[in-house]
Amino acid sequence: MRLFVLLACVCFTYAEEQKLPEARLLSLKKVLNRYLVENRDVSVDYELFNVGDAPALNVKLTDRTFPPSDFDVVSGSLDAKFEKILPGANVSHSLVVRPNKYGLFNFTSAEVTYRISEDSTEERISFTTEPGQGGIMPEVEYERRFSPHYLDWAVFALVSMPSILLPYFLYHSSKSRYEGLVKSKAK
Amino acid sequence: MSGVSKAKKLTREDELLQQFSNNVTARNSATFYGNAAIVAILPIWLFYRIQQLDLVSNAILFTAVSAVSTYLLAMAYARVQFVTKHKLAQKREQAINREVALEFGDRKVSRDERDERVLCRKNEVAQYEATHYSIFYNNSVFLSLVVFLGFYLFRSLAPGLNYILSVGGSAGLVAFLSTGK
Amino acid sequence: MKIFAVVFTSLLLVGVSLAEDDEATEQVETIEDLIPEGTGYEKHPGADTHILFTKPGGGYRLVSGQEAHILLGFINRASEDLFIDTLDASFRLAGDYNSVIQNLSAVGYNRKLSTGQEASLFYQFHVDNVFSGMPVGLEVSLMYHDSEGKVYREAVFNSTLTVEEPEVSFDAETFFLYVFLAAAIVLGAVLLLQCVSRNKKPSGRTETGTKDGDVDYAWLPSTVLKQGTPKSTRQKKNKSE
Repeated sequence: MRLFVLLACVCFTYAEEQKLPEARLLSLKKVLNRYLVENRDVSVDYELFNVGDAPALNVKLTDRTFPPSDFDVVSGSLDAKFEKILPGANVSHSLVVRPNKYGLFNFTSAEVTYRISEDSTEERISFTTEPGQGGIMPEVEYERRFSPHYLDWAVFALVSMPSILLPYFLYHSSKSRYEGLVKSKAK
Repeated sequence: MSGVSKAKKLTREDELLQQFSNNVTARNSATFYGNAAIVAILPIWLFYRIQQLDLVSNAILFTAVSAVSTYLLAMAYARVQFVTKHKLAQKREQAINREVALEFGDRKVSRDERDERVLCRKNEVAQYEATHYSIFYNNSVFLSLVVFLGFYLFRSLAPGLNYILSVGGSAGLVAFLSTGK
Repeated sequence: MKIFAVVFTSLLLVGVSLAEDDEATEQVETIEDLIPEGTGYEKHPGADTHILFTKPGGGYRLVSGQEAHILLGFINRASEDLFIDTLDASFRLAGDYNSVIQNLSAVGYNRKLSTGQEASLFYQFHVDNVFSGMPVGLEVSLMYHDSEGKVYREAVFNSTLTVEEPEVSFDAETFFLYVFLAAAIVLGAVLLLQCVSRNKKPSGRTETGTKDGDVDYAWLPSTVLKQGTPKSTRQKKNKSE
């Protein structure tokens, strides 16, 4: 009986070795912004992890989910190419877009195509993660809620200072004049 | 001679009464209303820029609230000025005595004339100082209240309501505080 | 490769049956045998999954008090379309996998994968501070269905992890503890000093009246001053007594 088990183990290990090494890419698409505002930059980050045994070749990342009518690309590009991603390595790509409309927008996956190994010609199509639905808020509302308005406060302080300081100065000058009179006599 | 002096005294009495009455002179009133109008308009800038309250579309709101605040502020100015004037007059009495004495020098002047001069001067100075103190005090309280109410307490309300409550509320509070002392 | 797998399984079965014949062991029916384990769903043979922990990175790790991010890769090796439904996770007792400590919310994806396509799924959950330092069983299970509507469930990650403690740079609790201690020390020192100084106090504090030079005579009209000096008045008083 033990012989059978031994034979079985040998067959098993042999069977394992026959599995070909291939690349496997896990791709992550993230929207880095906390708030999505109309006409303000939205940063999108892509990360590709190779968790396979072989290097991923001819990796092409394409994002078709930002229609040019609704989004302007500010920096980076919607496409990226990586010649080779070694097993265990990861690469990243970033993109900055600017929405020119407000409302709900569903951020869906971008597409990654790569060759799984040097020997194979199979091009695997892989979809990145979906960041999900986000609300792009109108610019006016964002302005009202979030900007620090330092300049506005400074101008207000500047303009209101005369109305406060001038009367105080006049009052103070008169007051000190008369109090000085009292003190000088007391001496 | 006594008749003329009596007549003089009467008119003098009237003048004194007028000086010590609550009624404000036209010039003083103009100062108050002018200052109040300027200060009531100042918060509009804040609300326009920070709370994004459009100027043109809310013009009616702005003018109405500004008018009400101007009136309330001017009222507060007058009240605080009146109260402070009396306090200041008492405080300045000694100093003014000295000043008048210095003015006259060694000349021999009648007591009446000296007292009259002192009274006049005292009133003048007290009025002047009280006016400026009142404007300063009320302005500071009003502006700080507007900032506190509009940008902390009522921050989350709709901008229009926020403006009415903070500016109107501050003006009301300032007027109310002025009745205290 | 498949041939070898078939050979292996057949050999194993033969071996097991032979073993059973040799050792005629009694099999007692336990409760586990009557109630089926798991939800009854199975794994689709064409689903190939791979899990990666992106936060905290460096293998399969969990840090208490922080978010954990999981990236799941799913390759559709079947010949039909597969539809990914949800991904959910749960914390279980390290020893007993059937007792659930915490069920984490499920996230729906509703994605269609054609043959040969691959999808990445992102899942995140918060590891509570309660788990700090203890071993916990984490099970991440994926639910998907095929074009016929048959539902599959697969535990893409099912093992015990020890939850690590976070590296704390600034802890408000310990900071304020130090502040409190410092305040207590300062208070103690102040009290001590007071005690010491109190012992010194009741020594030679005689009451002296007003001296001659302290009084300001400037306010008196000059006529009154001429009348009598303080010395003369005192002499007068002494004389009268």
